[in-house]
Amino acid sequence: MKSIQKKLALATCSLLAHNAQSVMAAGAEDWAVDASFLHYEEEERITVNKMIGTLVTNISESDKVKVDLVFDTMSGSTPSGALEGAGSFTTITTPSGAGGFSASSGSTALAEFSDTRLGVSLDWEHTKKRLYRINYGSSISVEKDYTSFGLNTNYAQDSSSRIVTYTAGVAVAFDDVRRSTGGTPEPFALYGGGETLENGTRVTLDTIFGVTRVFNRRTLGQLNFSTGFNEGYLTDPYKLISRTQLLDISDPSAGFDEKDTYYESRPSVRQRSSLYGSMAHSTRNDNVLHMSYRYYWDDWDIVSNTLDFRLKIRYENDFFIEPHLRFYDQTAANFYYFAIEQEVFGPNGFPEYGSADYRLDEIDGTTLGFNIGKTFSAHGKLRVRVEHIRWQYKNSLFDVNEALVFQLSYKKLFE
Amino acid sequence: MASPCECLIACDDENLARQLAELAMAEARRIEQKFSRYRQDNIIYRINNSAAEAIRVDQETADLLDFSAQCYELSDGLFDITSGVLREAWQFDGSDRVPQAAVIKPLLQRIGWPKLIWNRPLLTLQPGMQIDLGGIGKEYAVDHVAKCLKQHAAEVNVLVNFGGDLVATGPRLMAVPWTVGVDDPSRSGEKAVAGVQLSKGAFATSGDARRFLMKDNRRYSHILNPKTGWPVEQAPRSVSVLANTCIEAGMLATFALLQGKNARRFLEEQDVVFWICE
Amino acid sequence: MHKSKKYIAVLLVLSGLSACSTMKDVSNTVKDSLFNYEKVKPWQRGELAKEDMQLVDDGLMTYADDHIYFSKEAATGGKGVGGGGCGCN
Repeated sequence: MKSIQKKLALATCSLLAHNAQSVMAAGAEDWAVDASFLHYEEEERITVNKMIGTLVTNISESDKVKVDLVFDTMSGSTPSGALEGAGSFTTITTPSGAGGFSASSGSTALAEFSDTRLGVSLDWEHTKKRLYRINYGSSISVEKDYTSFGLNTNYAQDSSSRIVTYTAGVAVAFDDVRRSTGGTPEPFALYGGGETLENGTRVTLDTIFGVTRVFNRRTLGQLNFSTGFNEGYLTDPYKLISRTQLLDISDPSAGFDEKDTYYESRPSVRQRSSLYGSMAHSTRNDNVLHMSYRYYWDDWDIVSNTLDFRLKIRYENDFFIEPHLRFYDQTAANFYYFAIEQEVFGPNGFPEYGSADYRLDEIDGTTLGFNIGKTFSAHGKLRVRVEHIRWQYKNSLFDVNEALVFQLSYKKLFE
Repeated sequence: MASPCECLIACDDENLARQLAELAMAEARRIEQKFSRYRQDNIIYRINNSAAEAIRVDQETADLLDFSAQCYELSDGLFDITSGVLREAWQFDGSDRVPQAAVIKPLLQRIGWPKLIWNRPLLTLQPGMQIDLGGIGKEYAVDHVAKCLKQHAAEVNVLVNFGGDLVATGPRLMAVPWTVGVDDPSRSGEKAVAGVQLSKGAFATSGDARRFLMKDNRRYSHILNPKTGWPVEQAPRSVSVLANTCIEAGMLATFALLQGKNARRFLEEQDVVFWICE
Repeated sequence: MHKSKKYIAVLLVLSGLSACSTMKDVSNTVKDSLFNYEKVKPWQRGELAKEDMQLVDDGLMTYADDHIYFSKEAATGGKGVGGGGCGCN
């Protein structure tokens, strides 16, 4: 509430610093660097180490440039969608670059992989006549089996009282998808067989329209509507799906026999939309509550709810503790199958599309985390967070996946 | 500065005091000449007669324009250095000549900071627009002169007072503050309503009890709202504020006046000592 | 079926969280945030201007979370557009 007095003092300072060599308006010419290390670990599955660096600088009073760099190393094993082999459950080894799955022990249920990713993105934000901001961004991300190139632009306009901000944005991305040895498998070809087709390509277009509103001195809210589509190769070149036959057709509980295993097949278009509401509120004792809710739907019949809460409890000495809770659920895609059942599709028949990717199953997810942070006097801010995520799958071979996230970040401002 | 200017110098070296006084006078005169809207040989005249051409301004002017932009922002558009054209309709001479709405309305087209293009160091006005740094100039001069004197002789404390807007760079004598009287605007020059002990800091007053119009028993203050072109209703007669610098004090006092009947509430939300004469 | 249970759990945990600071937080939050509309003037934005009050108050945390959930869940987006894609498993 004293902001005007403080801001005025700041403005006066820069006005009276007139004799100094360079006189820029307050805020111009500072640099902010934010760097982070993240460790993500699933129980007996994937491990990811991620390094992220962000640099923001004002190149003029109305232009801001942001550069992001991310480097990931990923390794471990992930469910392929195939059912375990007839024998004991063992994983097969698929060293990256060795060419997909070379089934040696009979089970293909888990696929091992290791990869690295390098991503760079560049953003430029320009403020026009104090009430309009336009942002241009570009990004590129490269992995052994994936390359993505994206462009985006966002426009924001404040009302003259600055109570309401309207935003509109559009983004396109061009992706190249392949196995680490190159090419993609023929959909529904027998696993290990079929032709190797050329790399998959996909185009993604997203649009967003949003309204941000100041409700009162302590509350800010936002509502976004996003819609967009993916078109092209949307299949996962590593995922598999098995055919099963019931042991006793009159008693499904007696179990099934796994027959053949195939490469999965997905539609080539996906239309997605979401409504996203979010708010920040500073409580009477100066803690900050962040809440958001997203309702998502697409034409693969996936419908999802995401609820997110964070309460930043602020203590003296610029220290905070922030518990975080997130709840997620989704319905299964309309071409998700646990397996291709012989009783439904016959010994040689297929559905139009079929995937046993656990990420397209009905999922419930819960995240519980804590973030603590401290701001130091010299414009430095340290944060450490630990989160536990648990996903439950309704109709997958592996019905639970749990992950632990550790992130350490440090931000520093230079003037 | 169109008002008495004084500079109190706490020092027993007559030579140094004389030097400082001359420096203060020179700087004050320089600023007045540079930013006065009554002259035809300065940057303000060039800007106001630029016929929509971009004018390249010097660093000091650019700093003041940057500052004006921030004041526009902080005051939610109520403090606007382009509002001077309203003088074409309003003359606050104590008479009853309140202008017709039809006279004011077209003037509003020529008012509004966002209508000019400020791309440091280039300033472009739209045809018919004018800027006036009078709302900042005096306070800026006070702070600037004090700073120059301090740079010249760091050990000497001074009190720079231009027509009641003043700043003290340190106590008068060892730990003895300056005493400043706050004028009662209704009896200007007669009686101080409050005495302020000031060691280091600034004091500024906005408002002028003698400038108003009176029609049909209604008092029109000279504080004009640049958005409507009409006087701010129920504005206090004057507001005085204590702050670290004269500019801050002056701006807070001006912003408060522009709030009209909410002036007191506005100042209570700021972390400052203030006086309001209703 | 489990959805209603989930929302009850949310409320319980939320109130639990708030109890960490003050029990009054819950009722005040609802009262202060949603049912208290005022036209905020520029000089009243002190609190809103703080980094903690930005909708994305920690860019790297948001970036990392978006990436994790993008690679593990089918629903994506909502906050904004742009950013790098990936072929994560």
